[in-house]
Amino acid sequence: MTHGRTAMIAGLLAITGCSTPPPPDPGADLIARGEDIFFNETFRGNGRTCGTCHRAERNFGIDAFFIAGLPDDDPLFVAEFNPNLRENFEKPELMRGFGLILENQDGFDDLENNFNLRGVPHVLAQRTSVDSPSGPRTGWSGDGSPGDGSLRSFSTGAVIQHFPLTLNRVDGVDFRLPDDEELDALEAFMLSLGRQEDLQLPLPLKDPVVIRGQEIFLDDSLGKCNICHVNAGANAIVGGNDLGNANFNTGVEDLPDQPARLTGAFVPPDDGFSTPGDGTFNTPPLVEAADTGPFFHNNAIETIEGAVAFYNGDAFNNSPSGRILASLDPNGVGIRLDATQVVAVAAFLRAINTLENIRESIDLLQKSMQRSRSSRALDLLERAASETGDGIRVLEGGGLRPEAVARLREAQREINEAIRGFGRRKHTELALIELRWARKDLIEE
Amino acid sequence: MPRQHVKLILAAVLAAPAPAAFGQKATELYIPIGKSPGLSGKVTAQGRIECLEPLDRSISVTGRAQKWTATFTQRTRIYLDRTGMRRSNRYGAMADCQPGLFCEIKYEGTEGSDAGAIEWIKIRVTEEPGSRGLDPLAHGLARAPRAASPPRRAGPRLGGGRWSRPVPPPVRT
Repeated sequence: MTHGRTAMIAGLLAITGCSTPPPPDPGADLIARGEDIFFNETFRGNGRTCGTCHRAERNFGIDAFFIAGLPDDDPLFVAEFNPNLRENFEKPELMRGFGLILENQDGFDDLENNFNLRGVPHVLAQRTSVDSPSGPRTGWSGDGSPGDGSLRSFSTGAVIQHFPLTLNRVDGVDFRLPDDEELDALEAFMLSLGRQEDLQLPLPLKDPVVIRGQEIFLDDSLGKCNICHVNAGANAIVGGNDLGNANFNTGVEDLPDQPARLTGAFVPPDDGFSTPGDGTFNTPPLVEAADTGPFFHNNAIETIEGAVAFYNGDAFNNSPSGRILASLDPNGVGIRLDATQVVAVAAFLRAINTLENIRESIDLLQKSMQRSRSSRALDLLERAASETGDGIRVLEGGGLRPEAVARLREAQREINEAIRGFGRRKHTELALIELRWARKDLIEE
Repeated sequence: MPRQHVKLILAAVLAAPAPAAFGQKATELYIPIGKSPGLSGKVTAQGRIECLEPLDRSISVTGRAQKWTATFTQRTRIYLDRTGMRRSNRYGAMADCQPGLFCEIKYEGTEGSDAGAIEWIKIRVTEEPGSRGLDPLAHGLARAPRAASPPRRAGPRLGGGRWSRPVPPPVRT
């Protein structure tokens, strides 16, 4: 960075007064308690915590590339070194190769044959993506929780499924179940993560490809994306009816050449919601999509462009959802986009993902400036660096907005300087300014 | 087709009532009586089984303050809670609902209820069926999961609370 630019930013700092920290969040203590449980509590099980799979530095999910960098004694690999979990607890080669985790959605009476292999969904924006008129929708198929099916109860099912010392799964022996206070805290923490409200589309975006992508996304006769992903979120509003987080059978299970199956490994069909399943899966939010691949419940598609292109294919257009769309289309078409249109929609998703990265980074940096404890501030700074890095990768991956990428790189550099400790406040404030410049390159303000 | 009609039809299709979720509710099997989050102590009923009427597919249960009758359906799931014996819980059958056993019942529907169709029932088992002269084949305890549960071992623990690794990890491919 040039001296002139530094001086300009320093001047802006004085003018904007952005060093004033925002007021503390209500319920912060409960959220902090939940965070501690999320990352540190093993519930006297096999050593895993919630954070074993939902990694903060990986957008509260996990993927094969991240897994490849973990040491062999990481609790994620417990099936490889706990003899009681060697069989029918995980499929280690598919976990390492594709980030797939074993689940027994349809019961525990035939562990050899009756299981599903699913990716780890991020837990961002839960506040906007769980509720529906027919009850809460958790997990990939909307039925992830025991008990009352709520997000609060989700942790109980996760401990039973993923934390046991043995497959006997006896409470008090193989794990202990979370108590009410812990469930409250975990729920509060999960609800605090990421976006707290949906976007209001259309946004005043700047890039012509991104703008076109947004138009296609919102066009109910072309992209048709906004029917089920209203405002690029996880909810559907159709004909004035708010369906909330609805389930759809989009035919993902019918995709040919799914990567995990190409290995020759036994990957049972996943029947989705309920038992026996109805083939439906619930709708994930799209704002967070571009940096949380691979996509769909089975990690079948690696890129956001591929995920958009899925809706052009036979698997979707022959599915119940595709057929409904086709039956309502004057030309009998479900979804049909040309390659440039696929890329445009993906570019739009990349842009809104980056805007969310920037929003989250700013929020984390501001919170870091409020923290008196250095270790806590450091955690927040590291998460902000990770978020900013995601924004860089998401834009670069789509060949989008070089100026915004440059600003994000500068912000990341400042955050890393803040992490090193010397002049932390100054570097954090400079990073905030760079992030705001990056946002200005993406959207009219 | 007019756009408004399209939206109305789509709304009707998509808004069709969803069935009650089960799925990962499968883990309910391993939740002991009284610990089901959001349900126990709120919308479930607990008491002792007074009598089972196989022909009616009904059960009478005496709770702390009242007695009630509940009905089994094809959808009813029966869990045998063996946590007190420090043994793995099992799926059960209607025949396991023997008089005198303590149970917890979740009725169908999201609201609390004290009668009607049973969504799930948990039966507290405190002794093996054979010890009471019952036929294990007629009871859920004889229908253990086909995958044999590995023997439970305390196993050595390292300082960090993680399991020691008895064999090298498999070679990555």
